[in-house]
Amino acid sequence: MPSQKPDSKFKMSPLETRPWRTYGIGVLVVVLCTALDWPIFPYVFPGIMVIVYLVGVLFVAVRYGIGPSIFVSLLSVMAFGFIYVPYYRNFAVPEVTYFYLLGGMLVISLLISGLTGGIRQRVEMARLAKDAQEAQAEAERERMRNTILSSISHDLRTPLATIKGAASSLLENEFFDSGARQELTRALYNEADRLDKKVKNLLHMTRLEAGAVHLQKEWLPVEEIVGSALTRFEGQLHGHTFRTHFPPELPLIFCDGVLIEQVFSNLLENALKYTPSGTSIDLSASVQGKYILFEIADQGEGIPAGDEIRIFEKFYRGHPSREGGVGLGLAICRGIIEAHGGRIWAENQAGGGVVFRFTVPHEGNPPNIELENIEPHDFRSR
Amino acid sequence: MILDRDKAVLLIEDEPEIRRFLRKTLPQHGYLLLEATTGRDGLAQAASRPPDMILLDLGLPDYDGRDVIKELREWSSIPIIILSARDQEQTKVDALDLGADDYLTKPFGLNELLARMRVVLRHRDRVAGENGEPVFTTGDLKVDFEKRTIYVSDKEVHLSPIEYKLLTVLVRSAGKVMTHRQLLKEVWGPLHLEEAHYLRVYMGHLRNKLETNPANPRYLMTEMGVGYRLRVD
Repeated sequence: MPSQKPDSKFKMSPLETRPWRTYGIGVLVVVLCTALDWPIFPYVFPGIMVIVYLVGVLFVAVRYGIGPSIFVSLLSVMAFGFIYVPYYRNFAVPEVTYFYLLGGMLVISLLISGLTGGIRQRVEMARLAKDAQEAQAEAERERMRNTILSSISHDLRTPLATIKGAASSLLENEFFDSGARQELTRALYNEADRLDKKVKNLLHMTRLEAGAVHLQKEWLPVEEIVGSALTRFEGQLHGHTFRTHFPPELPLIFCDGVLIEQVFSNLLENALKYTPSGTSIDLSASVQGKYILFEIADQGEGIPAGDEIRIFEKFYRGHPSREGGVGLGLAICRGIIEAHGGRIWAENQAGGGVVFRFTVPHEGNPPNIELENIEPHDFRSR
Repeated sequence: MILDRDKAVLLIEDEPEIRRFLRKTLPQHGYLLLEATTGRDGLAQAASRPPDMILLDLGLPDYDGRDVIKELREWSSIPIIILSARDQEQTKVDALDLGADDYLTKPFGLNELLARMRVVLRHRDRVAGENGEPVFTTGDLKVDFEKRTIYVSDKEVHLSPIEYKLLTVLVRSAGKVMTHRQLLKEVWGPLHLEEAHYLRVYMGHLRNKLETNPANPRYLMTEMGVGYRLRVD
């Protein structure tokens, strides 16, 4: 039985599970309608009295469904026919009038029952469909949780194993020469660094998913965001070159700079990881209607065909054999871009390599910047 | 060039492992390390025996790190470097606006820390001497304060009055991060603290004039969400 929704107009009563009580209530409704008709009966047309019964039918139809409401329809017709109609006989009204009245009452009340029942059924079906959808979403979340757990335990414990091993060797063995010592320390540092990156990504993803990230949007120059991201890779380029192509007329964009910088960093990190040394990575931006389009193109081997969408899924790794992150970098990018109302996708290029593209809405009017020559006070401050 | 020898550094930090790491390493680089594990203890030590510099963890058990800065700044201008966990952008900015000199995000490497420490000490000495050097140089960038002239690779560059002002403010704190509010206050005045877009646009102008590639700057660095830093060699 579907659960009750307090906001629903068509309340499902728990009585539905006990049909005899429902029909008992139907009888009570008819008795009540008959009683309500009693004091007005000498003063009104019989049609008015029929309306009282119809209201009763409608009530039962809405609350208890089609079965009880048909029952109440028939019962109402009988009650009206046997209790009130005989009194009208005293008046000079042709018998056929009562026949039409009772017939009309029956038809209308059955119509009410049928229509209301149909609506109820549709509501119920929609609710069932929603329940099924929720169950599926729940199963999906469960699967996700399991993937996350196994992924985390694997990805975090691998560097931890090295760290623990290297550290305990250094602690216990005093006879290492300085070369071995250096090597172990280097391993310690590298693995700690990897662990740091992974934890950072996991935290980031978790906060994005929990909706704990509130965009701190500001008007920012594109070059500033990109520059800040590029700075992070200084000294780690290993023969790669970054080439930037930003037209000077690019407008300010309204976005969360810290997060969009994160998108650039993740995409650049990917490009560096999956392309051979000596190649270039090209960054560009342009205004495309209501969006600003960003492109990051590399000259690597591209994405395996069919993986263009899956690479943005959590914990999916395009190159499982290679050592890498947790498989969250691109999922984080997608989370951030979608939170901004944009889109991110990847395409292999005809000439080789992959181009990642994302859009950020170009919304609102950038603040007006008054240039210096109309601010004479600034000259005084020299 | 200042000598780092025997500079007293007060570390206010409750994490024993970080204290241990710095206890082992800082003395090797000529610093005398003093330790406090709570904000209260830190403030007391700083008052009884003022150190040359304070390294302050923002997440202390007894005190909001920001309150420690506030109390310290009531009576002292000892350089303070914040050690903060990540994802505390706003806390960092608050701390800097309250008068901390710079920050490092945990986990950090020793070299980063030593570089930051040298910069704030140098800055303190420069401020104490009032008038800095008449000529400032970093990389290919040269600022001649007496002639009010800027050179990039020995070629003169013309700056507008605001651009010049902005650059000199950054040069005065060379190497140190400056928050948006600090820069806005210095360049545009206290009535314009919320107009960060002005700052960004002018920073863009300055980059266009001084950087080889404004989208990949060498000198005028952005600390996203915090402010700017003029990088020194």
